[in-house]
Amino acid sequence: MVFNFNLLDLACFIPLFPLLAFVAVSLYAHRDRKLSHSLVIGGMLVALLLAQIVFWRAVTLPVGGGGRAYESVNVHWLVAGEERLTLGVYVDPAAAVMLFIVPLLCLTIFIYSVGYMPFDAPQVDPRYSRFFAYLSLFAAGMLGIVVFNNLLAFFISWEIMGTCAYLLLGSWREKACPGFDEITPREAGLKAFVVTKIGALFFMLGLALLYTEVGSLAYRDIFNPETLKRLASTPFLGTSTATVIALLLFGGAAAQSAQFPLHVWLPDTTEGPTPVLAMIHAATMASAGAFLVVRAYPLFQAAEVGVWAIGGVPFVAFVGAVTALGASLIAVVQHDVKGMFACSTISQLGYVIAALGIGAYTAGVFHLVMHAFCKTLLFLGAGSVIRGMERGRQQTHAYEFEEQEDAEGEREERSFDPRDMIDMGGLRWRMPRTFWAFLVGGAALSILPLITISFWSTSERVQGVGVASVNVLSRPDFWMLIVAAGLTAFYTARQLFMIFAGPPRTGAATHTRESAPSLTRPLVILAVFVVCLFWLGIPADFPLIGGLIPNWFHDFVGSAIGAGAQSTARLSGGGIAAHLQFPLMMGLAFALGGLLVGWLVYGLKPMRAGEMDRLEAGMRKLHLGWLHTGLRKRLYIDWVYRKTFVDGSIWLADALDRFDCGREEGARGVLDGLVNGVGSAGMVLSDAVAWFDTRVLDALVNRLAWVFGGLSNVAGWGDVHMMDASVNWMGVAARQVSTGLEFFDLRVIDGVVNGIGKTVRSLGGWIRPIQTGRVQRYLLIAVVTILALVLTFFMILQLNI
Amino acid sequence: MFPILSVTLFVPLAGALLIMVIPSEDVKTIRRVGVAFAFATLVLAAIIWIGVMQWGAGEMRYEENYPWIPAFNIHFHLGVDGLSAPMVFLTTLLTTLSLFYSARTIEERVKEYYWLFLVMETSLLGAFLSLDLVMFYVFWEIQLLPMFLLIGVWGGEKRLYAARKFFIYAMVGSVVMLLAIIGVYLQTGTFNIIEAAAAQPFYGNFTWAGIAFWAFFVAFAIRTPSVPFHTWLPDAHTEAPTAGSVILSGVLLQVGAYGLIRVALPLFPEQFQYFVWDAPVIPVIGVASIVYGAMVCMAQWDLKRLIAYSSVAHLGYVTLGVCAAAGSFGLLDTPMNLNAAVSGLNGAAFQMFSHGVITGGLFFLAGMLYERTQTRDLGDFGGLARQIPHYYGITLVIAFAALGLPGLAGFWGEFFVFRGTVHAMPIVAFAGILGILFIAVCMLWKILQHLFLGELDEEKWSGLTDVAWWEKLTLWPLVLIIVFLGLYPAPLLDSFNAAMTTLLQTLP
Amino acid sequence: MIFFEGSTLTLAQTLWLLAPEIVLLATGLLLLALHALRSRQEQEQDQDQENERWPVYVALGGFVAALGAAVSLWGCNTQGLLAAFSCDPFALTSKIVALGGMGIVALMSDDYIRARRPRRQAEFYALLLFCSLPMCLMASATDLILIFLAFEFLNITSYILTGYLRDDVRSVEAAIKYFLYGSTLSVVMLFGVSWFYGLTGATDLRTIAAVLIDAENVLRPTLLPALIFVLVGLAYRVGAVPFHQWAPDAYEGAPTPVAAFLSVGPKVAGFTVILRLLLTALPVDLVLALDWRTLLIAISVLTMTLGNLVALWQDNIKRLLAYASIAQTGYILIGVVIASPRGVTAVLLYLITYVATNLGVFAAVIAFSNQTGSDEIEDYAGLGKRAPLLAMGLFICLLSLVGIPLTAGFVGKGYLFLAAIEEGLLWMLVIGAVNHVISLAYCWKVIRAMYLVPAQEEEPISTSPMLAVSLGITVAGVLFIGVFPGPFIALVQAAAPLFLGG
Repeated sequence: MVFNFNLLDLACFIPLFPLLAFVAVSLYAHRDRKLSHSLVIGGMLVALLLAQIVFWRAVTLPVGGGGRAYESVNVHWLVAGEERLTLGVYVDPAAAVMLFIVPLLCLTIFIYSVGYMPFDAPQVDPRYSRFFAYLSLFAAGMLGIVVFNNLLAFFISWEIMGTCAYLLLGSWREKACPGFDEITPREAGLKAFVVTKIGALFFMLGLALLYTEVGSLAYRDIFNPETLKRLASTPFLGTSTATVIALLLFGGAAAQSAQFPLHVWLPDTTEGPTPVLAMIHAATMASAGAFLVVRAYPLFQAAEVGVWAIGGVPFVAFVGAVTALGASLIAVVQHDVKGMFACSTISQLGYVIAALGIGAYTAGVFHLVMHAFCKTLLFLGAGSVIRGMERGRQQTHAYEFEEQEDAEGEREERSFDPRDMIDMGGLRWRMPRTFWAFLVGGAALSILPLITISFWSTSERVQGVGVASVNVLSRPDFWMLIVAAGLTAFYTARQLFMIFAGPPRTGAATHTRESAPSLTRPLVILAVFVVCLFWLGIPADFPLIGGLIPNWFHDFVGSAIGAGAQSTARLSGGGIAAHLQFPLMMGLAFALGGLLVGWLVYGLKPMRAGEMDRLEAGMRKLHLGWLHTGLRKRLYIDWVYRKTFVDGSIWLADALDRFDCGREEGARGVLDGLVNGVGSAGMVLSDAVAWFDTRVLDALVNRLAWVFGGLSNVAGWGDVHMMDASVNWMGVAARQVSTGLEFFDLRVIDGVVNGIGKTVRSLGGWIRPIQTGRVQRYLLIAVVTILALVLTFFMILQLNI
Repeated sequence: MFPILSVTLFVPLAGALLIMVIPSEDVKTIRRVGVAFAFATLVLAAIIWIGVMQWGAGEMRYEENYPWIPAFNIHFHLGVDGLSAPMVFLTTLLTTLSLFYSARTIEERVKEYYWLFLVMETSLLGAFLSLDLVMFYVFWEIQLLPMFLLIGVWGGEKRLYAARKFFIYAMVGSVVMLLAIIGVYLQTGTFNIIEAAAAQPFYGNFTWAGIAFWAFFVAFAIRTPSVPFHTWLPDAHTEAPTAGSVILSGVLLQVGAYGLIRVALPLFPEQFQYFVWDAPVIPVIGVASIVYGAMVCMAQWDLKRLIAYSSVAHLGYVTLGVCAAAGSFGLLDTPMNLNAAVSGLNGAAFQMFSHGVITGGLFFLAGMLYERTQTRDLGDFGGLARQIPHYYGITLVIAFAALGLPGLAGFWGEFFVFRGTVHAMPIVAFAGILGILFIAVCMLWKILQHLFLGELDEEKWSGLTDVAWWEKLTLWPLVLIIVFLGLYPAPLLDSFNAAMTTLLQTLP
Repeated sequence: MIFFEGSTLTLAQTLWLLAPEIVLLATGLLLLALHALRSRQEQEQDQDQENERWPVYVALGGFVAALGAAVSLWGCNTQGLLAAFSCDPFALTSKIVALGGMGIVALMSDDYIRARRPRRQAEFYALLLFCSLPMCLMASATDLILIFLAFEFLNITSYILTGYLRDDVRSVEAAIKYFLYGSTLSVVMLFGVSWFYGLTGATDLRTIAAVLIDAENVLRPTLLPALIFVLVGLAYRVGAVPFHQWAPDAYEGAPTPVAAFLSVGPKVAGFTVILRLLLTALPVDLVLALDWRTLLIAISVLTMTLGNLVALWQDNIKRLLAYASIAQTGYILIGVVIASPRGVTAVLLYLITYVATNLGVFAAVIAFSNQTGSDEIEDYAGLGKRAPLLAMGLFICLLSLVGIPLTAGFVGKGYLFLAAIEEGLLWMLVIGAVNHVISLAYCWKVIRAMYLVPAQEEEPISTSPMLAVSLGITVAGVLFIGVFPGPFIALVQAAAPLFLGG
């Protein structure tokens, strides 16, 4: 085929450079800190440039969804029987948008971490270059997810990210140090890996099923309408194949973007360093989960609605809504800056999922993108705050810290934690740039849900039971999201006021100073982006600010699912029905209400030093202390999991091991014992037979000996002629015996006995007598056997004839 | 035509004979000769594989067929196709690495060690190359002796127990198989695997076919090893010398799996399908091996035992993949089912190869650690990541490959097995998927966490040295293969795919 | 090689047919005469015969000559031409096997005997030759009388050989036990023979068969005891349970080369007779044929199981080998039970492989005991280090005893199993398979000692040239048969049906 070059083909190089950076650093540059981080940043810079080129090309082309997506560079990759699966790039609006943000965020994070990761260790710390290598691989994974053209490559990149998360958290700190909730970073890493792995397994099964059904995993094959129709119509496990696949894929997405009930891993990641959190929560990993739903959106659409709708709400949307609400509830009571952000991440991604679940494709994508920006900004800001607190702490006490942030060992009650918002306050003047960045981020964060909710008013096609014209008030997910929006606004306000407002509550807070530019510059950049980008996605009919600029984002991204034209059409069609305005107003009210409450509680009269968190105090007053602690403990879900799944499987493993081979030395397990048992049974049997051969037969013979002896005498005296054949035979045999016996008594016995005695003495080693050493017994055995044989065969004859 | 197969088959044997005449004092020469011959075989194997890919991996290539025992038309019949060529390559590769590694680690009775090893290589190659049931059986049985001696002479404390158990256990399997082979001969009048498959022994006579099938299956299951026939494995592995464990897990077990695909499946498709589909015994065995093996693996504290159990689990996927293919006989007319079945087999084969490389690497690593520290108890370690970063890095790659991380070689086998299974028997697939999780947990939690993370016991391990150059030379080829195949499995997959497609299409 | 035209034989031809036997006899007598002369000379100028090797050379010459004669007879089939004596491929095969075996026995007994009874070597070898003579006769005897005569001849010579070391009390004891046991059972056999004569009025096997076929079921009840008596005698001869008990004692007590001889010679002869008797005189298609098959099945199963199990228990390698050879008898009986040309082939093939294997093992054992004077298995510890080649030879022969591929044992067993499966004796095979594994277990005992257990003392064990040669021959044979069994299978397959078809 002739390969005509298109700028979009550059997409295939985007993940390449971070990957190369990773390889170079881990193999070659790991001795040199400067070299390694500059390699990583350089790689990401190149990626960023390429991504920008691709993005703008995609916008100007413009690429669309489905058939109008751009795909090229097909490398022969997998075969199964006749079918082939090729590896290439696939650029559609969603991918383009992600390409716009991901490298940008990653780059800022990288630069930030150069300043943030001091590593003033005396010797060159191998973990430093390792850290950047992992970051680079992490970014490569995310970019791979975006650009590749089939779900399998998507899955591979996805798992690479999970691994990097594990490595960054797990190999982060060698020392086991209990943090807020007594979990060491490496346990957190393991937890993250395992939980996301569970999701990945669902994902993998889904892929396997899809691969089998469609015979390919390339987007163009699995998302073309006929295929989807066929999948939706073929029954499987009591429902349609499409539904099963969608559910399995959603399992993966839910785990990766921390949706209930697989959300447990995300909050613990706060044990890791802040840039890593920014990567995991905002820029890459958690977003990837939601992005999977974006990618597989047509499949989710094709899935049977009736089966997986809960209370008229599509399953996906329901999960998203529940997560959004629950997580924001938990977020409200957190004292830990990063912990709060973690919960807020969960809830925001809940929004994304919910939006996608009810068919708000563009809103979902927009929320995803914006959340990525805000959250990165906020995390980096939080990092800056924490650094400031630590520095302040260092100045107050001449207290030698360990090299990393939040690194004190055992904490007695009310010991200092730079992440604890209770200890902060009044940083507004001490850390101005950080404050502004924080402010922008917070504002964006609290407005964001609103925009998503406004979807109800902007879209004709709410998926689920009925359409938007049905009263949205009857939809539980709507209410959950509304409440969550209020809570979001509230906890954002709470945090802002607690950190920045009022007087400093500790010495550390007093002595904080603004962080170094290497930390603050990325904040500024991000803040600018947040402010600018926001306008792109404002729904056209948003009150006041709506429609100031055409909702370009909606058109572009919406075109991916062919929903692009609508908004413009509706705009030209003039305003919309009043009852559709209602949800929007509702959302606005809740959001502003949340902010207001936040201001009332925390802003109006800032907290004093040593004062208990007002929310906690208030809840205690209302005898809701239990609720508060419950929320602080994240509703005990982690605890339950640990008690059931973790301990259970470990116990089971031990039990099986004991069953299999036995634990302690010597003790054989049941199964192995069984096997050995067969062997030892053989040995025992052989002993028995040998014993029988030598002892029992003789014993038996001893009994018979005198009988035969007597018989022999009789026979000897008796008259041979008068006897019939059998007696005659008996005589013969017995005479032999008798002669044997006589002879034996005369010669052998003594000879043998003496002989044996002699030889025992002389030869020493020759101990056991030869069998029994009594030949007449053998003879008797022989004779008895012969007799027995004859008798048995006569009996056989009697039976036969 | 140049008889490349028989040359490849007998080059190691020639090396063994040569070593026999070298005086046992001249250790250096012995080692050189051993490695040289192993490497020559490796080169030949590579040539063969390339050639097979060139000529098309679907049919048997380079066939050699001389009458051996005319009375029963037993033939010295060699041939190689897309399935056996990679296994031959794997065998030679691991043997070369093992001998190279042993050159630095085996000190006593070097001469015997080396020629035994080469004899074993010949027997292993023979099993993969032979197209005659008797030859297959002969090599199958001969393999046991050198391994038995390797364990018994160069093994650990409980080596006698382990060796005897291994030997007798394996012998039980093979004598049963011998009877089955004879039965097949009396039915079909040929020992030729291909012709026998075409003739479908005991066709229609279900009872006899079932008996023969189970005779074969048990033999292969013992060797593979599948639960509940696996208990010889942990002991053998724990006691065997490093290179011994490498070959044992890397190749010797694969011979069983290979037999499953090459012999049991084509000869008795009916019975196989019956016991997969109507009376699902074999899927249960497969899943049991996976889940049970993985769970027991999770409970181990001895590094080598742990790896041994993980390979029980890994080879469970092979069984499962063959089940996926066997379950869909008669449905192969639709491309969907055919492709699913083929990819089941592809997965099984790929799992064999990748497991050979990965577990081989793991055992090398375990051996290196053991030779430095004289302990395999995971509880004794911790925080080694700082002390031996290079070792840590390599272990990371191989361990992640072992837990089937996408992007590394271990993934494809499992994925294709599930692709074959999930549609035909979803329940089995769902059950089997658990294995991955547990293996993942025990690789990360047991190996990585306990060895490398946490507190470094300074006074204990401060003297621990990182991997030496020869160890790097042993490990890096494996690492490279793992990564390369993980990202670009096409070369291996094409080879298997061609062979498996013909296999399934030629089935009645 | 002679071709027979017509139905009568000239005297020359007849004598020529007896050539092997005659050669053996002549050589034996020659040995004795020479011995007498030499010993007189010595008494005149009394020089010791320590290093005299001539007897063994003469004996070997005799064996080789007899072997040559037997080989030269190959291809002729005189069934029915001569009374009481048939020279057919079947007989010749077993003769060749027996003579070859005996030759190797002679070879390997050289040092042993010279070390123990230097002045009486010639007698020993003469006795060996006189042992081989009845074997050859049994191989081709077709008349009960001749069979019994040869049988008894063999017995007596074996007694003497067993007690050959007359100042070793174990040897004497073994001889006497063996004598008592053997004589009794041979009498029982004779009794059976007399019954046969009484019933059918004939002693020639074919005539007996004819009579029995005419008188269908009438004779059956009375025939059975006769059959049993004869079989008992033969069972004792081949050492089948429960008439095996003489074997371990005799083996342990007898001089090791004699033990080697006992383990191969009588078996070969005995089985040829069993086959000939059963298949000629009592063809399977007779109604009562069924009975002797069930009887033999029982005996066979009993034999191999008991033999193997008890062998597992032994610490003395000679006893172990005794029980092992009992077990082998059990295997061979499977072939007899099959009673088809293929069965006969299986038996012959198994005998060949068995002779090679067992003699190899014994050669190694003799070599070991010559040096260390011990037969205890634990003394074999570290043999792999002390005498690598010897250990390797023993190792290979033990593997062959078990039946590992590429050794002779595998060929024999494989063929046997094949024949049995063909015959549908499945459950027998299962037992066979189980025994296969058990046999592995006791060979493992020896292998373990040789290779896996460190040696007590380190000094290397040297092997005398004669033993080395015999061990080399046997091991080579074992491996050759194992790798290229084609010619041997062809040979026995040619031999077997000829005497069945008649």
